[in-house]
Amino acid sequence: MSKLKLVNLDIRNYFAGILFLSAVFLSLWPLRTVIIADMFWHMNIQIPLLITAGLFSKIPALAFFQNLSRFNTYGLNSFIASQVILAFWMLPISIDRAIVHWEYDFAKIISLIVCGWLIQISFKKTTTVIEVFFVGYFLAMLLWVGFYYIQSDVRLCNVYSQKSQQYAGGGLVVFAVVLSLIWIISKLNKKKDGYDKYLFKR
Amino acid sequence: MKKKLNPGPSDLALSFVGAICIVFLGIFALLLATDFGRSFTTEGYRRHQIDVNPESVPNILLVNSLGVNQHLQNVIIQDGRFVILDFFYTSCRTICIAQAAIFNALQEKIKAHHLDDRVRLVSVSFDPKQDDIKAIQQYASRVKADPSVWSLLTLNNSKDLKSLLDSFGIYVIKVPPFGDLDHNASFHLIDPKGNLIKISSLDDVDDLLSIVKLKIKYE
Repeated sequence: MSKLKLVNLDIRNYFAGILFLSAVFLSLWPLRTVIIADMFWHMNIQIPLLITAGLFSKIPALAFFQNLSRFNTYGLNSFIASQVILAFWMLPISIDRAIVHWEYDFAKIISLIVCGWLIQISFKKTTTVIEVFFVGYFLAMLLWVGFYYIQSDVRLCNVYSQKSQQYAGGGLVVFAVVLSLIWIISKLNKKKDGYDKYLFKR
Repeated sequence: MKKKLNPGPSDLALSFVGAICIVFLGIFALLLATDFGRSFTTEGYRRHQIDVNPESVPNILLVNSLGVNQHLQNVIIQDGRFVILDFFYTSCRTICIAQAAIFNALQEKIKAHHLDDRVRLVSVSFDPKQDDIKAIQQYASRVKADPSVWSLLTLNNSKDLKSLLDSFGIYVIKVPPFGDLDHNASFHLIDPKGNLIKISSLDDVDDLLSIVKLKIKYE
């Protein structure tokens, strides 16, 4: 039987907590003025902070999660759900809503933390084929949205100026490139160590 | 690292059913957020909403460049003409100048097509602290507004600003370095009954004029 521990004071949780709190403070006054004024701080700093906080935190080993994992063979469903959340928060209309309505901002914080958890679960359980499909799809989407934000000659978000939109788009493109490099390098390293042997040789 | 066990057939089936549910729910959520794929931006969402359900304009007290107080909805109904309305502020250096140029061309077009008894232009300032009657007058002469076709208005009471902007879906922001105001630029077509029936982008202003022509033709 697994031990029921809700608060796990692991070093990883301290780290994730710091990331999470700094992201939450960005949504509260007075730091909120920063994300209201600048799309870069919203899309390229706050949202990634929330996702990484979820990604690094240790998920409590509850029986509920154990049972749920039966629905999640090879991390397929957690990948799909995280993809939906990520796609949702790339829409300009969602970005606007998160600034104008606090309910959406609250939903943003919760859903992106959950998204980080889901990605963490997926990476533990997945196989290479599924991982390549979802990660590749996400990175392509990120790159596309980034370029779209840069080249669009209309203001897509009512709450940000066009210049701010272009910087945010540039940030997304940089993110896409850096993340794909990190991902490819980590994949190659794993392969070299024979760690992923199960996935390549059946 | 936990060893990966081969999942049993029942787990695979459960996951497969779960995947289908999540895909459908996810697509539904995304469609709901984007007005069923029609609008990815707030501005597009607003425009589509107005296309489907026209809204009556608010009856807010405004002042024209002669200093006459007028309620927006009342004056549109009394006047009996279609109105193409936009928002501006006099110290603007970017988008409002483009808007004024478009309105100026539109003014000439309306006069050339002898539509000036059926449609008129209205510009409303959203910077009531700076834009008093004098500033509006100066601006009107600068953009060569013909008072019979194009009237410029400002708010009487700056407390009404938020309700005015909200009812037209305008969001004004301050752009950091100099604190310039920026806003979603659009033109609003209002029918003689005082209903907002169409919102267009700056490029599609001719569409508004053709809608007016069609409406007149089939009256």
